[in-house]
Amino acid sequence: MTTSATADAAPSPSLWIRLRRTPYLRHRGLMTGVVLTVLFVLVALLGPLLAPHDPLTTNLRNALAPPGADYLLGTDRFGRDVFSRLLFGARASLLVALSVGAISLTCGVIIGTAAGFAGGWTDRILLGLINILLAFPGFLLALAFVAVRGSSLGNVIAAVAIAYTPRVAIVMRAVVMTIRPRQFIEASYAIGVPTLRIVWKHVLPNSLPPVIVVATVSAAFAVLAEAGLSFLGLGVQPPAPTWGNVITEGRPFLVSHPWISLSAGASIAAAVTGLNLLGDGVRDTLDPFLRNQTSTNIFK
Amino acid sequence: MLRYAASRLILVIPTVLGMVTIAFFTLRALPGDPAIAILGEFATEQALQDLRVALGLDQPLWVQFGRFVRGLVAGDLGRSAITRQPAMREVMSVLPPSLMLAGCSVLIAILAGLPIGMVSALRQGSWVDYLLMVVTISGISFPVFWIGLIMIVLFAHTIKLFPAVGAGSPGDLLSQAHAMVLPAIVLAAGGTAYIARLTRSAMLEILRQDYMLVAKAMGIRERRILWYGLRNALPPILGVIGVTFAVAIGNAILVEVVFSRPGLGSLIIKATFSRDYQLLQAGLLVLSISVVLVNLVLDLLYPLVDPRVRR
Amino acid sequence: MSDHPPAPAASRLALRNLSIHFAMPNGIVRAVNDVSIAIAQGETVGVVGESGSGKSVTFLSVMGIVRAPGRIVAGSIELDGRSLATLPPEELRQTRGRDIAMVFQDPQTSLNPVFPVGQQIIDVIRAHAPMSREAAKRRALEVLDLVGIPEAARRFGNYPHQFSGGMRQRVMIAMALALRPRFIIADEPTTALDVTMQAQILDLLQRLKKEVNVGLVLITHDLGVVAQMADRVAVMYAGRIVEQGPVDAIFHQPRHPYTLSLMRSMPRVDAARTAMLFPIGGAPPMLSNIPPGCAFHPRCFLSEARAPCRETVPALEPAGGAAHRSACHFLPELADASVRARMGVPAAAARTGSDAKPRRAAPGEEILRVEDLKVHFPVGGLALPWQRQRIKAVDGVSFSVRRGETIGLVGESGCGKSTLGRTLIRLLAPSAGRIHFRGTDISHLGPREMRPLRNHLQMVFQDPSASLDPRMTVFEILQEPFLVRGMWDEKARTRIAELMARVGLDPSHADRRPHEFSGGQRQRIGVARALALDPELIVLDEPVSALDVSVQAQIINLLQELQADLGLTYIFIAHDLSVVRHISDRVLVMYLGRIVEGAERDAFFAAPRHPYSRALLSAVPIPDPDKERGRGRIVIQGGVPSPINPPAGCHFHPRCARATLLGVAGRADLPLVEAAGRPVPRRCVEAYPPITHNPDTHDQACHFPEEGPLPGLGV
Repeated sequence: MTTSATADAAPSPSLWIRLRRTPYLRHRGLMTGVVLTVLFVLVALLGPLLAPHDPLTTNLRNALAPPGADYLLGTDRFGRDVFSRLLFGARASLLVALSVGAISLTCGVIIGTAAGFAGGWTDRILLGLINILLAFPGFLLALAFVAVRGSSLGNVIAAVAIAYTPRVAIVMRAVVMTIRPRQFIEASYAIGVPTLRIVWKHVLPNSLPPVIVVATVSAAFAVLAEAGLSFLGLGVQPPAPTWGNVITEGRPFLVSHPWISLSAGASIAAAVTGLNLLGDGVRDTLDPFLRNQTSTNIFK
Repeated sequence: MLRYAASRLILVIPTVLGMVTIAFFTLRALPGDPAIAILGEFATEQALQDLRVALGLDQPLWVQFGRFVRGLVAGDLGRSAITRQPAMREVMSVLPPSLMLAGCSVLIAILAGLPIGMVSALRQGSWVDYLLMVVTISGISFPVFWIGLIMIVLFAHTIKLFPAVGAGSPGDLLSQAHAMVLPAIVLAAGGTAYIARLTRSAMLEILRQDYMLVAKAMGIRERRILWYGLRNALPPILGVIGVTFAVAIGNAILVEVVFSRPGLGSLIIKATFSRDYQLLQAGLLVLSISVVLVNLVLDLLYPLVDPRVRR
Repeated sequence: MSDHPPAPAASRLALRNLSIHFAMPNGIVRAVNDVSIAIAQGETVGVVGESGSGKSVTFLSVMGIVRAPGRIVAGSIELDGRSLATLPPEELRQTRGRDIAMVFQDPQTSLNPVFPVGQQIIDVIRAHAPMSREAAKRRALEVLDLVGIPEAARRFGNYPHQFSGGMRQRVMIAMALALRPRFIIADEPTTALDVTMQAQILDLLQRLKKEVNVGLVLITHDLGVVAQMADRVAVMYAGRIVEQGPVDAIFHQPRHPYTLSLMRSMPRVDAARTAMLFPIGGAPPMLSNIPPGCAFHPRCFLSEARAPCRETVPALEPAGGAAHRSACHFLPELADASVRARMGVPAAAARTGSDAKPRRAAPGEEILRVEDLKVHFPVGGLALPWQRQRIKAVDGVSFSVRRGETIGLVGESGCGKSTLGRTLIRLLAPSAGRIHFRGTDISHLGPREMRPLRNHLQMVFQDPSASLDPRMTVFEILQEPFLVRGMWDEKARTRIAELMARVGLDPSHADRRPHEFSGGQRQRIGVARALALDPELIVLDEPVSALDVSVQAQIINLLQELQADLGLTYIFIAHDLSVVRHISDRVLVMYLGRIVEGAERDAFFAAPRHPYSRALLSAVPIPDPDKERGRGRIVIQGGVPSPINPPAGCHFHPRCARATLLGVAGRADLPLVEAAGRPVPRRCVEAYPPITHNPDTHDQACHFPEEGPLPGLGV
């Protein structure tokens, strides 16, 4: 029933146009996501300038101090300032998020486009590989990788990127497959546009928005995975300040001095929520059915 | 129907083969010398050489791989470097509690996620929807081990409702179930949120379908229309249960550590820190293959909820 | 069937001053404005309008399914004098489905995919009538039988995806009929169907109306369907009824400029061709931005921007007969013959007479020759190679095209016409056969070798909003053909402006994106792109079928002008025979991958020869109630079979009326066999008929080409 008034009233503009035109401010989730993400990035970039203490300096006389004016979030059992450790810890998390987002986006887009656009055996082989990687529980694969190759930040990034690239790839493949049969692709062939230019000029620009959303989500997962690995002692090794390490360090004092683990966990939660809300918000904005805002809900 | 089942079954073979290959090459072939890893850096060259021969590490890679696959077919994944027990037996002995935990959490996730998503969709845009969406975005954003720690503080220490650690006394089902409640709920948080969000978007999509309008126009009772909606949402929901299970398996390791439960989590951590790669590999493979098998079962169930794939 | 108290002799469904608005974030969409209309049991009311005229929303409100935030802001809906708004919710629910039922446009989406069809009908029955499952099932089987579902009992447990489109629409109608409602609202019930399937469904609705005594509201954009079916007609424009009256009055003495313009802008399948169509300028308004005063005045030939038209909304006033009403400020002028003449409104009779001569040169030398072309696609991605089946989309087609002529390629969906068109310009590779373009065999050229030839071979696509990259500006779209050939320079820049002007677009809009244009304008962009490289032959794949009726004529005229000026050769693919009659020089009819008839346009439309062509032509509704009444119809049974396993012998034999007649006649020299439940000549089942060339220029593929027209069924 394309004859509803909504369909009549609104021609369907491109994804980009929709994104550009949407009143961002009206979307509370998106705004919260943007604010949290910007905060996350700022903290990571400016952390060293803001930190009141050195995150590595131990001071056993001040161990396990409660939150106060000098130590905003108290100290851990070595007397290190928890607040400063969290500020520094943001850097590891941001680095992981950005790298994993960038790597999974780049590799995922290349693999997904190749599979979705070429079709045939190329698609079957690539899809098979993607599916095999997808069949591993992501966190477990990352864990095994780090366990064998050693716990450096680089290995953590590589491990999480390996686990999450197939997710981006499979979405990209699906999106490309919806674009490939569209008539403007055929029309480009008809006027003699070479295939590579079609992919570059027509397929990629039209398929990126939803894939960027997935890459955002995989960046969010990367923060979680890094924290999880650190928590297990497989991430960046202590005493380096990462959010996961801080939680682990606070764990024996969970009941008596909960602020250590709680504040570190809250930092992770805030950063990941921000990235997820950002992804959600962008997706909602791109979603034509949500955007044209007629509810289709027959129960209302 | 039979053709569908057969094609699903056949697809499992290359998948498992691919997983085995990846597991072999990432875990055994790539890094340095497993012999050094096992015996330590100060072992004599003779001892290292003996171990390499014993483990077949002196053979070319493809011979090792062939031997590995042959062993795998026979259910032999080598011996644990530490306990000298067959790795397979070690893994199998701790598999049930882990699968049990993951299974329970997926069950909770379905039972909780489905209604949450339904209510959210039916009340789209209301404060109920808003609240539930805030809760579910937290569910997928908060680190599971952190949720676990908070739960321990709240429910084990503050109001002593559940045990903070352990899996209950052996042989006492009641205490085991009691000990399972908290970890299963914690592990289910992510899955619940995931399924709730999926159910919501699936329902919103279904609610705009013409056949729902037709049902309303034809004067079908609201309760029945609701069933129409739920019934149509089942295929996509069934489609993500496999992913939910896979994520639960991965997170179960973290939850088991948080609650100090015996299971694959502690085994894998132990194997990792003692560089027991045989054991680690066995753990990774067994868990991954169990995920593949769960997905297979779900695939075979799929035609029951979606008549369109039946032949 | 008397579970509810018998209705009064003739029930009445009435909408009174109904207005429905959608409060959208960017303004109010006034979808329905002050609409009043009544339907009595036993009559058929046709509601005609283009997309965005508010015709669907008006009646969705009767069923209570206007999508939020749509709201009835004024007026009422009354059933036998009782306003539905005053009914308690439970009674309202009972009314819907029991007293008033609805048939929707797309049978693909209006049945629930995860329940068997029988179950869905039982649900409707049991929602209203307290009866056992068995009793409900019996009644469901009755109605399935009534709407012509063969072997209803066996198909009861089948799911919607196991039915063809036409069968699904029958199921939908069965569901609507299940409780013997007094009114059925059918919203474009045949728009998603092929023309032969449309004929079957309209036939069914006509029959049911007589048998069941139901009041039928038929919402459609197709004036032909209205002329065939309706007793009364309401014409809607921009959310208002602008004219309503008895069907004959509306078609023979239209008294609203919009109705009048609409009728003369349409090409007709039953009338000879006029040189040019009379298009309505501009595009239908958006409901969020309806022009003040009379909504039609910016496009009206009569208004000339006079003050009343711009300022006041005209009311429906009697025009001609008592029941005939029209909303125009200048009704008397419209009735005045001298004014009509001044405005260039043709008299009713001007349609007849011989076809006007096209004002272009006679066709020249052969430009394209196709020999035994086959295009087969493998299906079933995961099947093993020897199990893989092939869709024979095009299966042995030969014809030639001369420079400057227009070939009309017609057939129903799935006949292979679009595949053929795409293969001709080598968007697809043929599986066998030859394509010669200007003497060069292009059937196996690679993409690189094809590229220079693409300058001469172009295509215009069906859906202008899908065939333009939504992210690009018009300038970028038109620039691309030059860029990829390294021909981009200042001259090309001016060429883009020329192109835009040539197709009737404002060159200053070059920096806009496709969505900022109306459908008709977007198709102009598509035409401009095809013209960019000075093509010789253009494949037009249903270029107007996605456009509103009032806009189609603009594009058709543009295409004809361009052909005359530039000497273009067209291959015009369409399912709409009226458009084909208007624009083509020759017609090729395709069925299941083969050409079954080829003929000069006039000869073809005067007397089609192949039984399929005849059925096709006879299925097209004619926008003239008199002709519709006096018309016999060849309603062919069943749907188009799958091109994977086409019927043996002549692909058309299971549905062929000529084969049926020959089977009944039982001539001694014709051995018969049983096929599709009736005797047919054995030859029809054994071999695909060869093409016979007929002196009067009809080529047809039939074993019995000399059999005369079917008695009483001429078109």
